[in-house]
Amino acid sequence: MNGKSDLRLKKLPSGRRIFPCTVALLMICLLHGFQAVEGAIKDHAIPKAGHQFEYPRDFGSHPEFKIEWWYITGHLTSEDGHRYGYQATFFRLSPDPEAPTNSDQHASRDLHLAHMALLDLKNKTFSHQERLQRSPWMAFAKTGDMDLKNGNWKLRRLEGIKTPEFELKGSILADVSLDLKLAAVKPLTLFGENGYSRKGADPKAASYYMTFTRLQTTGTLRLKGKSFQVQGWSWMDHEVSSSQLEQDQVGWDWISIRLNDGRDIMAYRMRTSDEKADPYSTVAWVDIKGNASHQPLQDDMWRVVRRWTSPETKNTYPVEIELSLPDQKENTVFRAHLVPLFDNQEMLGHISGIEYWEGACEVLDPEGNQIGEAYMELTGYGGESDLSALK
Amino acid sequence: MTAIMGPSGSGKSTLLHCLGGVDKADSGRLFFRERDMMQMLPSEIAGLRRTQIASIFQFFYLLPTLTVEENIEFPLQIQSIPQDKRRDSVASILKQVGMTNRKQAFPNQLSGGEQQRTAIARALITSPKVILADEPTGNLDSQNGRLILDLMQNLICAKGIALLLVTHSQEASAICNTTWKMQDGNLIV
Amino acid sequence: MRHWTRHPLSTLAFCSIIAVGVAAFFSIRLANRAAISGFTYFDRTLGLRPDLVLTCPSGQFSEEDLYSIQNQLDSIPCVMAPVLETTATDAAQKGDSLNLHQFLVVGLDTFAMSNLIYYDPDSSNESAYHAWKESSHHSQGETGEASYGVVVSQALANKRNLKTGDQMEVIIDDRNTILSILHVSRDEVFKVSHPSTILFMNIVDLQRAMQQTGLSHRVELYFPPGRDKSILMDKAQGNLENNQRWTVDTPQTSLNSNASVTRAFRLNLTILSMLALVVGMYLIMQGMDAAIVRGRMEIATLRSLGITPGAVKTAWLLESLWYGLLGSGGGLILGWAGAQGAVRLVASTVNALYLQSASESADWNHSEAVLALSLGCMASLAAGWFPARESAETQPAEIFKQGRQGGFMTALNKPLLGAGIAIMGWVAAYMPPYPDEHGWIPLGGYTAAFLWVLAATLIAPAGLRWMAPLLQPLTGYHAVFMYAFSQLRRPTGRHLLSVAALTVAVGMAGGMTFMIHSFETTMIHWISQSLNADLYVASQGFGSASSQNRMSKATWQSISNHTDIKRADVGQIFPIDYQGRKTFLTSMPVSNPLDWEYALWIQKPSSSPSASSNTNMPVAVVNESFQSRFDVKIDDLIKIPTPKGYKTVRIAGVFAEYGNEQGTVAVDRNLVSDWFQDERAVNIAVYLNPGADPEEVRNEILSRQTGISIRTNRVLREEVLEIFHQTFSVTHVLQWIAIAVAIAGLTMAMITSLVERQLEFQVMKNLGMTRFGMAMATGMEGLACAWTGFIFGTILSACLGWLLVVVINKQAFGWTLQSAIPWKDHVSLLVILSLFVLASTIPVGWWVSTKRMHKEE
Repeated sequence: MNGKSDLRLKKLPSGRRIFPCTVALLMICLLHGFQAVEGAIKDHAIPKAGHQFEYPRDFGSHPEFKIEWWYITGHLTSEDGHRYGYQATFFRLSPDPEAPTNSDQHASRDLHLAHMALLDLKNKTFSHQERLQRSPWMAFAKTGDMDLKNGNWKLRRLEGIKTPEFELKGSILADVSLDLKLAAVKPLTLFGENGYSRKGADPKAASYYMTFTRLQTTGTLRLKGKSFQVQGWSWMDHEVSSSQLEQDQVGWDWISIRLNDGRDIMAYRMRTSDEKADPYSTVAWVDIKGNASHQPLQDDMWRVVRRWTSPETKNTYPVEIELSLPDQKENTVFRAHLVPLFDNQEMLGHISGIEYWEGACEVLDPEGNQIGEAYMELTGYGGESDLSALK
Repeated sequence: MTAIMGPSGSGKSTLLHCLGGVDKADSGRLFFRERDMMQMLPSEIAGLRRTQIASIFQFFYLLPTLTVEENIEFPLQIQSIPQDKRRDSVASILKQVGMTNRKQAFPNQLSGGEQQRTAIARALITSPKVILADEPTGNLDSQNGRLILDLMQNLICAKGIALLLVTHSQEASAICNTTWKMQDGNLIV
Repeated sequence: MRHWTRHPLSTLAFCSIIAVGVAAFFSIRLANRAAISGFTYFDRTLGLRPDLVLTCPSGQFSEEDLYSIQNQLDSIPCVMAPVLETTATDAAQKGDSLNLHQFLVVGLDTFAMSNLIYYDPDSSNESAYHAWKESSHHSQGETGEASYGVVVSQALANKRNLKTGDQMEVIIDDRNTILSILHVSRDEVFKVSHPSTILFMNIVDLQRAMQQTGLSHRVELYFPPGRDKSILMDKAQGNLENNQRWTVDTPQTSLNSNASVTRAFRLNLTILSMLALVVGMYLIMQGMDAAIVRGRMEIATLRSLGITPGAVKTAWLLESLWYGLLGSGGGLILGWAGAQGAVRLVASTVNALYLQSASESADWNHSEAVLALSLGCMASLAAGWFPARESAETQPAEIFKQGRQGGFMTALNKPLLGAGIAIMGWVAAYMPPYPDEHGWIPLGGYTAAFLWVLAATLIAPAGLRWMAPLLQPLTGYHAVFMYAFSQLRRPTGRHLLSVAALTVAVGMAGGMTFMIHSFETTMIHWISQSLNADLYVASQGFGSASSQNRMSKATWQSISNHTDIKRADVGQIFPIDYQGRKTFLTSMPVSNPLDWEYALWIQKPSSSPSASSNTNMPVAVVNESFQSRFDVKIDDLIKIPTPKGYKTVRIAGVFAEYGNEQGTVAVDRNLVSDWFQDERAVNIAVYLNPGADPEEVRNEILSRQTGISIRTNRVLREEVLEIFHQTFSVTHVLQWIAIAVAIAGLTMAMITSLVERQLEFQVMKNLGMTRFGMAMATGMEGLACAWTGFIFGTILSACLGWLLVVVINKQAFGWTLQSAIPWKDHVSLLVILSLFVLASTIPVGWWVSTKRMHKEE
């Protein structure tokens, strides 16, 4: 959920596929009366080119923007060699800029949506949970530095440490909890024009896009009462936006790849209603120092190898792909085969109605050797069912 | 004085009930002093029973919650006779049947003979025209039975009251002037 | 065993007696249960079952509390949902009556609750889902009036013909509020239905409507499902405990503490409801006996065939059990149906006196059903025991004998034993009450009541014999009297039993009436003493302890500024927890209790406050209930929980107040408003300048202010009494059930007795007694029994009344009541009883006298 992030605020195209966060927005509109629908966007701040990023301020929340999220995925390994994948996403949604702002604590009417998922390869289980909060004591996203809370799910930057380091605490229902430290080993990467990432022809369709592509991760997992140490690598996106999606975009496919050679790849393919890649689809290489180089992503670079149909939702997701990306640095074509570690990594948003696939993948070269790890996000495959819960 | 004799089930008691107005005959007509009892209202029959017809039974049928004196007085009370008048009649009749010293006793404290004497006193107290007696000695030993028969002979006959006596006993029928026999519901005169 | 097939009528009669008894008991138990479960957890109608509930001693959570709860929960996952509840008055029903339709409005944190969907994704409650989904719907109407989204029940929607999108108008506090219907909840079969009086709103909307930002009344915690759920709960409980600001309860304990508020009331009701069963027991005994009498020949034959007495007894007991089962089964059905009606009665009482309970339907409850069933069977077995034993022990020869005087039932005729038991009861009455965690239980009082009832059943039958000489003079008057009253000299066991039953019924009913009458007299005295203002202003619909409508400061200030008003006392009331028990903090219109001229003092405050060393400490006065519940005395210091922390006050006096039994502590209003940061008034007592016309002032104020109602002194007094009477409506119903059962018993006794005495009737007929005379004799006999029962019942009622007023009430509620004897009610009871007895026994006599004599040869 990154590049394409900006997609989320599109107005409802009736009778079409709806993007996840659009659904969240619809919900907000429902909950807060109808006045929010039309007037919302014009009153939110719009990302502008040339923004001077300042840290830790820009790690924190940007309440003047309509939507913002912090997104972490990672691969973990326990001491006895079992592999785990996890996802933790904190959204801040500002639905209603016109609502009367009292001086009291209810002034903050932001909605806080969050997702948490864990893939347990040892037990072949995928568990996940969604949360929605509005009360300021239940959830917040602080300004000034990264400090987020959604119930007992927390993400914050640890102070007093030179290299950025973060603490993530989370849980899924009663039997899963995680407590992780994430230490940046690569500097912050700014995607787009120095962090100003445009998503469409409309200049308003843009976001601030900050990423830590390599966070060394250590900590504890607790599964059904048993706690154990894990370590691995994580990827963290932070995007700030207020924009809308294009009318004919129906979803996106997004990947983050961490290669064993020290480089990283981020790519997204925005799908139009005719199942083509939108011209704004992008692939970005991140070098060892964290610098990104961008190029358009074309349809032939992303070939679907295998699809998987969810027994739960009957949605069919293209879960296994082959990438053929131009490697500008070495002037060759980079070929990789992305294989999901587990097919059923489908997130079911019981509250928001959002259904998407967010899964840990192995990255293989054409010979089948493991050359890296990836996370892939596939959205917009849910059809009308996304909305049904809210009708 | 008339005795009616016959085997069990020959209809003696039923006849008596009809005569006493307690039961109604299925057919036929019954006259009391030229009046057809079948045509009389229940209240008129009750009136008859109060003043004209009295009964004596084999099982005495005293009211168990009343004393001897009260049992005897009861028919007078039903007739609403003033208390002082009642007292006199009761006292005299008690004397006649020899129960004065037992007047405060309850029926269950009496012997069979005493009970029957009380019943006779109760029958006599209203000075009826007819007394219907249904096996009055049937439940008594012979000595007491004899005593009762004597009493009936002395008191009832002496006062000129008609007595219709239903009995099995030859001895009882002996005190009567006439004896009728009954068989299968038919009276054989 | 075959008795019931051959005597369907008497079988039916027994079964219905047991059924009535079981039904009365079962329905009251169910209704109680429903009324109690109606407290607090109204969200349970949405299928929500919190794992832990936090409540606040001061009754109110502030937002700071919510933050600190979250902090203490730390890393423990759970859904935390504050809940706010208030009452709203139906604006559609204008008028000043206190019986306006009142809604209970529940404000839910719909956002927090939406997360519960994850706990059970497959069967997330449909209506809960709608409640969160469609919740917050606050918009400005064309008129400029605010409108809020609300979820209503199917029941209300049907009643008012409402559908989604419609609007309804209610009064919250003193403001008219428009609610627009977002959703109509559908009741699920076999679940507690959503009562028509409950409305659900988003908590933020409700806070806005109440103009009380950030207020909540409790916090519910829901823990996620999974293997570790109980570990998480324990950990959370550990983290949250030992905090002065709140108490942690499981729903059960919390329910209990709410239920404890009405404990005394419910205990009384349960005991009353057993009355019908107890009286019924006498009747069953009687009925069984009659059956045995009828079955005598059969028994004798069986016995002569060599059946053992034990087998005969077992057979009779089995028959009793069979009746018990049959009757109790019917009683359960009847009781369940009755509970649906009774629950409204109980709930309305509870609403008027205690908390808001919105129960409209009673749930079937297995354990209550089993309890009622076993009570019914036990009563039936116990009732069958003596007759069965007698039937087994009597020798065949004796059985053949006709008629009998008393039998086993003469066992009841033990006046000396009765007197002994009565004395034991008297001793018990002076035992101190038994303390439990919620207050005092007058165990001694209840024991005394039980012993006295027992004593009365032993003494009253003897009274039948004592009646005979009293009536002797009458016997000379007419044969009807002679025969009727002679029965009393040698009463049969059936007579004894029905007199005992009547004594108990009249005694208990009369005792309750005594108590109610005393209560009423005391109330009237208290009202005349303390209700002295010319006008009483309250938010429309406010009229019971459960109502939460308040007047805003602006409203009461503008009223007090009226030129004709000399003084206006603003009243406030807050429910608080003191020492873990619920009680109330109210405002005193003055800062020095000595100036409180309309208080009715039990212990007057000392006129020299300087005597106390704590001159700077705020003073409080407490009511009698508070004094006895918390065992405090003058000059004690107590700590009152408030949103601003615990405040220490000194007790200066004790005043009389009969508004509640949970206790009241009154403190200067200015302090109370400050502590609770709440200036809203529950009511205003207005004193007018001399010469001002109350009616005129009232109309003048009403023309300016909406959402309030103003009562003149006279109207208020009437309404207070009206509510008072309403409170005892259940009691009256139960009394009449007991009396009716007793009369039915007497009638049944007469039937069996007369059937046995058919021959006597025949004899009387022979002696010239008319049918009318015989029917009258029967009536007189019944009347004599009824009067005997009534006389002893009156004595019993005086004892029980004294017990209720002086011992039980004082101990359980802490109220001192003036004893007042309800002569009028008692005489009317006698008249009604006599009429009913005559009406039921005379036809019986007529019927028996028309039967032809059976063959006697």
